[in-house]
Amino acid sequence: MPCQLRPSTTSREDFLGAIGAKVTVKLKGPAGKGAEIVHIRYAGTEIDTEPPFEFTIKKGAKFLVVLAEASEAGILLQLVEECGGGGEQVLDRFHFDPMNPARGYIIRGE
Amino acid sequence: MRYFSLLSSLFAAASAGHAQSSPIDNYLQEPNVKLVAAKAPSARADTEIDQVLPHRIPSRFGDYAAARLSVGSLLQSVEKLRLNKLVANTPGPAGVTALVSRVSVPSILGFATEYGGILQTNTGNVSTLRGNFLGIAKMAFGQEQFPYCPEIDQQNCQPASRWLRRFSGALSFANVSAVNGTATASAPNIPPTTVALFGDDYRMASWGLRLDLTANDPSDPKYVPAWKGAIAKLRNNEQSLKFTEAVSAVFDKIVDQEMYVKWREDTVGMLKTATTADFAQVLERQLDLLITKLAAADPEFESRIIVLRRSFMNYATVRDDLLKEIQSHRASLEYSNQHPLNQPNTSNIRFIYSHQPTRSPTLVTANFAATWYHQTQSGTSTGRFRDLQISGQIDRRLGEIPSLGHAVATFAGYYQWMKEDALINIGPGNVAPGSGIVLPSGAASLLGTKGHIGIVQGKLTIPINGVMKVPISVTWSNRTELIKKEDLRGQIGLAFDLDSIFRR
Repeated sequence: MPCQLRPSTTSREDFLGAIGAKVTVKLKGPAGKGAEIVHIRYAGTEIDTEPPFEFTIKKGAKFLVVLAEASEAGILLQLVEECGGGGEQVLDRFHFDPMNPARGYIIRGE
Repeated sequence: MRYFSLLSSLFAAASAGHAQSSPIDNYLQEPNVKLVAAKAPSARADTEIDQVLPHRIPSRFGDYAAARLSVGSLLQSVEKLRLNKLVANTPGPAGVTALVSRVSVPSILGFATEYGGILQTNTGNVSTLRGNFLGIAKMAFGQEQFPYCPEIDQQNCQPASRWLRRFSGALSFANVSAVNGTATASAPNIPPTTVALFGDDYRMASWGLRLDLTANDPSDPKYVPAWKGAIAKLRNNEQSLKFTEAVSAVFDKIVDQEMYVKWREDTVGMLKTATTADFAQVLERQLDLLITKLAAADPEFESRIIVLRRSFMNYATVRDDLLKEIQSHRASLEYSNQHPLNQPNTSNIRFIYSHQPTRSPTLVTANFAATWYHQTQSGTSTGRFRDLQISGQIDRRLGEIPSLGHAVATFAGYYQWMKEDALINIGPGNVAPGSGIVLPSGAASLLGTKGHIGIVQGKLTIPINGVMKVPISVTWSNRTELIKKEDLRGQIGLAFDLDSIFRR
């Protein structure tokens, strides 16, 4: 199964995807450290509180909130999309900030 | 007075520190923003600049916007599902149903009223105010003065916040006017004589300070598995859902607006070429421009920012509480200055240790304490050192009561060695124990009470809602401080945790 999200090349959104496509995301951290998604919220009301964290792309620009935690401040994390067959796509790479555990992404369904 | 001087110094230091910081400095403290800002213009990729955008780091943007909009300080805190939170008074004075001090206290304010006594038979009605100094400071002076200090990142906190979060204080009042009882004092080989111990007043019973000594240790091999357990609890906590709901409420309407798209395009372009010296200034100007536009376009923008900040702080407090809970070893040092009714004032120093032996909801707590009189009592041979205390307690969280929460079962034991006989102050017109002699005002009476005191207690704490809990206990003692005979009593109390109200 191919990856559902495509990085945007414009300022209108962060990622593009087909309407109705199901996206699975997960968080990866350094070996021996804790890195977990607490939950995701997509388009305001679609919430997934248990892994695998999934959402279905809706039409237009919608906001995805990923509430993520790590066992140590400052460690490098990767938000990845699971693309099936063991494939992955890195959506975001960031250092964990305990003052800002929620991160937002604009995803446009078309 | 020394303690108040210390607090004043901390508050002053925080104020001074704040004077040197600004909203944009706080925004630039976000580690990913800091990295981008430090790079040369030619080295900044678009995806790296995306890390700076408000929708990517909503909490940092919320703080910035609140400061720019002059949003008032927000009060936050929370405690739930905790075994090791003490909202009642430190063991000792009349009217306290807890045998053992626990390691942590409510973040903002705890208030408890308990009925019944353990160490003394003169039943009282004691109300305790207890709070964390950082929470109180934020409440009093605002979050900008005393910014949030995450449990797992204390080394990067402002020194004042880092220290204040470790201190808590308590002030207890005895509502003696509500109870007009008497107690019986006894002395060896002398028939007991009734002594009126109660006045008709409402008075301070004690005050105290507590310092938390321990913190999370990421190098501990047990830390990461325990941390995962804490995050699993966080998933089921309503505060985490409220937090992302608040984030969505701010950004859902913004992300599809042409205004935001244009602002983003302009901002990315400007930041890509800004020198490292100009980066902060350019970012600040663009953020201010965005906030002005958002506030003009949406009359609810400011209130959404308020909700965002409050919900983040509520979430962060829950998270920090859960992270404190997973500390398998915790220790605190507590000083209390006690003013028992009709007894000489005393000071008590207490070392509190707790250990959660497994991931099961069981907590073991131990206390070691010593008490001394503030001054030697004239007319007696009693020295200043009064007693030693050792106590232990096991708390076990029980199943959840639907719509109410978890009940907690507690078993506790207490041992006290009274080095000297207990002292009481006898007012004018009172009769000395075992005699018909009317004593003058201020006289101290020696009771034949030195020796060993042992107490065991079983307690069930039932939650009524998020604010109130009802502790029901049965206590047996071989004697009390003032009466040398066995005592068995049942007690029921009502404890309030005001943090739960403030976090709404």
